[in-house]
Amino acid sequence: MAAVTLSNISKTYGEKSAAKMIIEDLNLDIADKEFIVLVGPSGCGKSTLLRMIAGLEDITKGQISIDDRVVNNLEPKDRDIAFVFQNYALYPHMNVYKNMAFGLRAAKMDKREIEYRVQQVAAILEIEELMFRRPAELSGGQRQRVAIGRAMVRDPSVFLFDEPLSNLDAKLRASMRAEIKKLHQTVKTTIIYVTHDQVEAMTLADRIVILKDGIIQQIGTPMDVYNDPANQFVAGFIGSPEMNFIRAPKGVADGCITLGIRPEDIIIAGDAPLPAGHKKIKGTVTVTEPLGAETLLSVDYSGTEITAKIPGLYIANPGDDIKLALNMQKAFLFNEKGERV
Amino acid sequence: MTDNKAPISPKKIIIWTFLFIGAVIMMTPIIFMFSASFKYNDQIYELALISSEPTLSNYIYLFENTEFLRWFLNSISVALATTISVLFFDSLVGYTLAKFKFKGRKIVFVLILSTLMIPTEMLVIPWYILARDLGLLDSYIGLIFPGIMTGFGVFLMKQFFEGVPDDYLDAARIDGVGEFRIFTDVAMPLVVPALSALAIFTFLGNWTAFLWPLIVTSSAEIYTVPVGLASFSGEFQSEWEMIMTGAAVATLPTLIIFLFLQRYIIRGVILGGLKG
Repeated sequence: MAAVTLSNISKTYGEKSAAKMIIEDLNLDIADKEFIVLVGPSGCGKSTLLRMIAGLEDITKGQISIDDRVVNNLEPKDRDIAFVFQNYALYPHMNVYKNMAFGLRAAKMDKREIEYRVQQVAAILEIEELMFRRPAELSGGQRQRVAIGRAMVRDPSVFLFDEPLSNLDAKLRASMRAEIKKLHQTVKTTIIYVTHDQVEAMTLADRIVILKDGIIQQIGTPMDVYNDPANQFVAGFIGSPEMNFIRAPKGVADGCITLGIRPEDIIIAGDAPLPAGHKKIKGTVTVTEPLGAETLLSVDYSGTEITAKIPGLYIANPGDDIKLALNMQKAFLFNEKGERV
Repeated sequence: MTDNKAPISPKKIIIWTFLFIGAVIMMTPIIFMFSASFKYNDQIYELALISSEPTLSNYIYLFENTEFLRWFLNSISVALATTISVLFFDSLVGYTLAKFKFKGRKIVFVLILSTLMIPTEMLVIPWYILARDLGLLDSYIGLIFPGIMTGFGVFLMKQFFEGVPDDYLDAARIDGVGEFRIFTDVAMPLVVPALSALAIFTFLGNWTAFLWPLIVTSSAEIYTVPVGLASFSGEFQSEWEMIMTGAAVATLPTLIIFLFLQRYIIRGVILGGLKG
């Protein structure tokens, strides 16, 4: 069992008179073996929260429990956690083996047991051949595997990942993402994962926690937050390309000022009658981005740029007039505070 | 056949000329020192680089009839002890100032820095009073204690430790390593160029130190090389050939250090420059 409970967590920086609130009265229950992703824009407090769980940062107020044990005053090493850093933080003067064994040696573990554990993890991560290389002699992906390996050998109750894929190129990021997911299925341990990339959040998480300015905006499964965003911020943050926000047409809903519609819920309106629940709008093409399987079409609609994701190849020139149809059944309405209506 | 070599630019010729003049100015006293060590006393003022009757008698006399070997070992011991102490304490203080936040940290650093602005000549009086009151006059500890820690070393190490990413230290904390072992096993290996540079500067500084060893020592068996060599110079007569012979032997450790550690010296100076 390694459930993590955060109760009324607050974090402020600076002296009392000029204290800056980073996290405000945050509550979160993370179940055993759950893969939870904290996502949000830069400066939202997600990494600070992770470092507080790890014990690398003090808590101003509140209580953190791991496995029903309050860990507020425990050293990082006593919390039974492992941390994978954004920049890997592999000790540059030690080879891969020593990097992975360093923590076990500090715990005065038997030499044979250390060797067994390191070899076992190296086999899972397919890094056996890198054992005697130094971090500088490894590629970004290999370094990331070693960093994960160093965390795994400690056999912790909770894994903490701080944007572990942000330094990798797009292709490697996709393959490492799949490996981390596979790893979770293999080791079946609680994982708390921080990222600003909503694709990572959607593909990896059992549940996503969306943070803004240190306050939780929504907690839910990837499909929940995608299909039923709590507010305009979540609606705009989750989904790629991001949701279009336009001024709500008159008569759509009283008191609503913004209508949100995802690019995939917009189609080209031909001469044929529109499907039920669709509303036609007219605009001017500004940019077309053919991606192969689909085309992203940027259209100027009454001074607001909206993006439509059209299946297949669609050829249009900038300046062309175009008619689009919005699927109003999948549209979201927000009031002036950005709240769902 | 064409010559592909590019012509040497006038700028380079000027630079090389200045460098050559600088090299001559610096090398001449050293060449004369070695030259004089092979001369008899009455030939010392002859300008010939190679004596008409070169002799090793000065070297034989130096090792057989004076306490030079003792002074040499004293100098080595004092310089080594000071270097080890400086490396340990300066890096420990520099690391603490760079990586831990505590009240008064800036004031402590400014106070340490301010010691750099006080010349040794002003410090020798308080040092002397301290050594006298603690009964350290004319002793090895008396020779060593003013150099146990240096403001310059603390400053240098602090600058270097600030360049060590905190994530390495946090990773070690998560790994369950104690703070002192993080310092020795994680932080220290990452600043080896700085440690090498500091070791060289400290060793050479103490090897050539003259004023404090002259003041604190009074027995010939405690003398260091520079003080011992000065004792060859009397009120009415100086044994220049002996002074030069001793100085020639005394350059050997520095030459060896330079030959083995020169890449670290250059790296240390460059890194030190970058870190500010």
